[in-house]
Amino acid sequence: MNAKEQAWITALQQGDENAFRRLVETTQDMVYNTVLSLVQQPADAEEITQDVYVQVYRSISTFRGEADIRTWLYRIATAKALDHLRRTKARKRKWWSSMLRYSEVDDAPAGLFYHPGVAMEQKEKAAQLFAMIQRLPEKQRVAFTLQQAEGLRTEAIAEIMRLSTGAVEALLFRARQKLREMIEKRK
Amino acid sequence: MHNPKTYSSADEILHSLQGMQRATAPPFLYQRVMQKITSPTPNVWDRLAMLMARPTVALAFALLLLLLNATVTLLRNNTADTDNTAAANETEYYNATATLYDY
Repeated sequence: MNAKEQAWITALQQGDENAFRRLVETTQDMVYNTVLSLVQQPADAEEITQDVYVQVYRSISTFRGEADIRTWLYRIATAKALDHLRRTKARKRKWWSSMLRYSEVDDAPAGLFYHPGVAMEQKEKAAQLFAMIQRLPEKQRVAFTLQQAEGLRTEAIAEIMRLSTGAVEALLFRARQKLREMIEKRK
Repeated sequence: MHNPKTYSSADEILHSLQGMQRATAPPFLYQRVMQKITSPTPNVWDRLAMLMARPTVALAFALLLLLLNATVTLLRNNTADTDNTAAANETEYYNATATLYDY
C-alpha cells in the first residue's frame, strides 16, 4: 500500500465523508458486478451492494490494512451475496416442504439471467452457464464467478477466499468439470 | 471420452463469459447508501409493523381471525343446542309425570 492510499484509508477510518464517497464511486461497479453475478437478480444485487457499503462504513475501523481494500470489499460482497442465497434457499425450502412435502430445492432462479455485460451473440449461452453456476457448491461458485465475471487471477481469488493458490486451482478445475458434466447431461 | 461435437458446444458455453464487461452499478448508489446509514434503526414496534405489513403475514393473521371466529360461533351454537335439548327434556319429563295437583 502506498502513502497516498494509506492516507485515504486513514481518512476513511476517521469518518471522512469525501473519502467514503470516493471509495463508493471508485469501487461500486466492482462490488455490484460481483454481487450481481452471484445472486443473478438486479434488484437484490442493488440492495446487497448498498448493504456492503453500509457495513464498510460501520466497520472500517476494524480494517487493519493487511490486505488491499478491494480484497476486503470482495470478501464482504461475496459473504453478503452467499448469505442472501442461503436465506432465499431456506425460504424456498420451507415453502416447498410445507406445501408439497418436498425437500429438494433447486438453487437456480426461476428465469434465465442475462448479464448486461455479456456480448449480444453470447447472451443465450452465458445465460445457460449462469443457470448452471447456481448449482455449483458455494466455494466453486465463488471462485468461478470471481474468475469469469471479475477477471481475477488465481492469486487474487486465493487472497479473497483465504485459501492457497493450489486450493483455488482445484476449485476452479472441479467447477469446470462439473459444469461440463451438466452441459453434457442436458444434451 | 468426450464426443467431439458435444465437447465443442460444451466449450462454447463454458467460454461464453470470456470478455464480458462489468455491470454498471445503478445510479445514485452513494446517496442511497448514505440514506441507509443515516436513517434511524427501526425499534421493536417498527419491526412489528413491517412484519404485519408483509402480505403473507397479514393473510395468515386474517385467516387465523376467521378461524377463531368460526370456532367461537360453532361452540356457541353447540352450547345453545345442548341448552335447548335439556330444556325440552325437562318439559317432557314434567308433563309425563303425574303430580298431586293432577288429581
